[in-house]
This record gives sequence, structure tokens and C-alpha cells, in this order.
Amino acid sequence: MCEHRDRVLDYLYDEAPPADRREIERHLDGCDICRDDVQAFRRVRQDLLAWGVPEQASVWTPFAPAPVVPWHRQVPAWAMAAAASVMFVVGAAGGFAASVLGDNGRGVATAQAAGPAPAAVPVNAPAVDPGVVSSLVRQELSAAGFNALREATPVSVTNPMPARLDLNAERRLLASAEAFVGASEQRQWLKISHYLTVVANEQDLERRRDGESLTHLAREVLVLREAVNGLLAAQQSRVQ
Amino acid sequence: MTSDEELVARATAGDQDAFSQLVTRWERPIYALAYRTLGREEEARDVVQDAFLRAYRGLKGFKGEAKFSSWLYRITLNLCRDWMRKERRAPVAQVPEGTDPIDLADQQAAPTESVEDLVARREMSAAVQRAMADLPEEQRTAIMLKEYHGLTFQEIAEMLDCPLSTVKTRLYQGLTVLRRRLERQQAEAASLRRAHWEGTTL
Repeated sequence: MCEHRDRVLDYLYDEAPPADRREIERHLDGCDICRDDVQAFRRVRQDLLAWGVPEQASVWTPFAPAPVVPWHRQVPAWAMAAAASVMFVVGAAGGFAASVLGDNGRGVATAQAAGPAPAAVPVNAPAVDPGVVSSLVRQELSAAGFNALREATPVSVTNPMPARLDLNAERRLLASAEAFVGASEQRQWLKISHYLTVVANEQDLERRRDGESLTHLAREVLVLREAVNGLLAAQQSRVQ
Repeated sequence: MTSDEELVARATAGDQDAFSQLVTRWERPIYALAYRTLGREEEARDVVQDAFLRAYRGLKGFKGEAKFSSWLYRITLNLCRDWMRKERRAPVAQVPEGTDPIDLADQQAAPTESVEDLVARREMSAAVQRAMADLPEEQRTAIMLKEYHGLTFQEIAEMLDCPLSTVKTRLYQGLTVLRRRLERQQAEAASLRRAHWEGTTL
């Protein structure tokens, strides 16, 4: 090992001042060890360049803006499920109440009126009696002539498929279902037209009341104008 | 281009964009240092993230006595050292087994580079990784900071907190070991190629 080792490294890495470089070059001319080191280290440095680094995506994201989440995505799934359940229950209760109060509430005439009177259900009933519901459903089906269900092969829960299919009964069931749907649609249209008539009557009544009020006001204005005219005439006669 | 010192001052005052610019500027060299020190991509990524987090948290304590990059290098090297100590692992050379010229043909870096050149480059890269992984940690670090990051002897000495002469000694010894190993590996590779060529021509 030569004592000029450190200076050779300065020369190799271009960290030697120009004056020192010339001096080192002179030394290299006469020192086989240092000359050999410089040549070999240059080859090593060239070889070291072969070791590349794989391409890498940025790993630094702490300052990235938080993604904007719509408000409905921020609501927990359990809350959404609970809200959906509440809406379903409210909707079902509303539909049931409308069906029960159809005749008793606002005197809405439906096709139900043609059938047997539905069982009376108090408006402020604390809970819905399942027996009342099933009774109403049976009456509704009966009113629509939906009797084919009785003829169809009963299907048990444990054995959902009947042992033998009766095609005639199936056809009758289908025809009854179609008739039921048709009758149901007709009843809905009747209900809608009735609601529209009621609303129109109410508006007509209000319009009439407004007209009467206006007529009354106009009469009062006329009376007042006559009074004013009378007062003005009296004042003029006094002046004359 | 805004200097590191200016960006550091702005980042210290709470400007996150300034720190992001520092990250963009130094992420690649820091990753290269971590990758070459550990030899593992996944761990190198973790170290890079951790290094920048530490730098961000420690900005107020950075007085600017050293360059920001030197400070960052020192944090990274400490993290690498911690990781190796904790995992009781030495750096590894992630060298793929075997070299298929057909696969390599798809990975040509430049259209001018022939498949033979690419094979030779890959073999050399693997040889360098193996030789570097076998070096003592001090020698390997000195060579990496000098060769791949272009730091001066003085900067390395300050970063590693050791005398200038120690840095030069480590570098000289490391280069000497690398020289011997690489020359031996190249001789073995040449011998294998010759044997393969003689086997196929006979």
C-alpha cells in the first residue's frame, strides 16, 4: 500500500485541486501500485453503474386531499337499513289505514262498498290486529270474485311443489288473477276520480265564498260612497 | 428552481406545498439509497415514507447546519440500520434466478442496446449486488454515498460523524474488495460462457 492512497482517491473522484492533480499524475507515472489501483477502481466504478434501481411510484401521500364523499355515502349502512325499515313500516301502516278508513274517514266510495261491510277498526288503535288484516284481504278477494284459490291444489310449506299439477285449476287461477288485477285497477281509478271531484268541489266552494266576500265588500264601499256624497252635498248647501 | 433551504424555511412555517416539493425532489435518491442498503423494494418503500415523515416532524429541529439532503440521507441510513438490527437481517441482493434472453428482449432499455448487451448488463448488475451485499456495512455505505449519490468526502464524513481519513479508508478498502470479487466473478462468467460455447459447437 502506498502512502499516497488518500490523494489517489481525491484524484479518482475529481476532488483534488488542479495543482494537486498535476502532482498526483507525476506520482502515478512512477508508482505501479497507485497506477494499478486507479485503473482497477475506474473499472469497478464503471461496473457499479450497472446496478440500477427499479422504478417506483411515489410513496408520499400524506398531503393528498381527502376524497369528497357525498353525504349519503357518509351515513352508516346500519342507519340506512334502519331508515329503510322505518319507511317501509310507515308506508305499510299508511296504506293499511287508508284501506280501513276508506268509507269511514272521508266518505270515499270504493268498490268495497258493493261487498260486505269491512270490520270496524278504531282510528286510534294502538296496534294492527293481524286477524283484521287477513279478514279484510279475504273480503277484498271475495268482492273481486277471486274464488279460484280454493280450487287450486294446496301447497304445503314443507313440500312446496304439489304432487300432481291440475292445468285447468291453473288456468282458472290465472283468469281469476287477471280479473282481480283489472277490478283493482278500476277501483283505483274510481278512487282517484273521486278525490279529484272532492278537491274540485272544495275549490269551487272556496271560490264561491271569496266571491260572496267580494260582493259584500263592494256593497259596503257603495254604502260608504253614498254616505260621503251625502255629507259633501250637505256641506255645499251649508256653504251656499 | 427554488433552493432546498428556501423550501425548508417555507415548510417550517407550515407550507405543506413546499414540503411536497422537497419530497418530489428527493424521493427518488432516498429510495435508491434505501433500496441499495436493504436490497428489498417493499422495505425500502416503508423506509422512504418513514424518513419523510420523520423529516416533516423534525423540521423545526433542523437548524440548517448541514444540507437538507445530507440530513435526509442520515435519517434514511439510521432507519435502514434500525430495520436491519430489528430484523437481524443483512442486506440481500434481489437477483432474479436465471436470465431468459427472450424475456429480456422485451425489456430493452434502448432500441440501440442489443439483447447480448442487456444480458451482460443484467449479469453485471447481479454481480455488483452480490458483491456489495457481502461488504461490511461501513464500506458499503461509503461506496453508495460516493458512487450513487455523489457526496464529497467531507459531506460523507459529516453525515457519518467520522474523520475524513476514515471515510477514505473505508472507501479504499471497499473498492479493493469489490475489485477482487468482480474480477473473480467476471472470470467465472467468462469461463462458463466459453464452456457453453465449446459445448454447443462440439
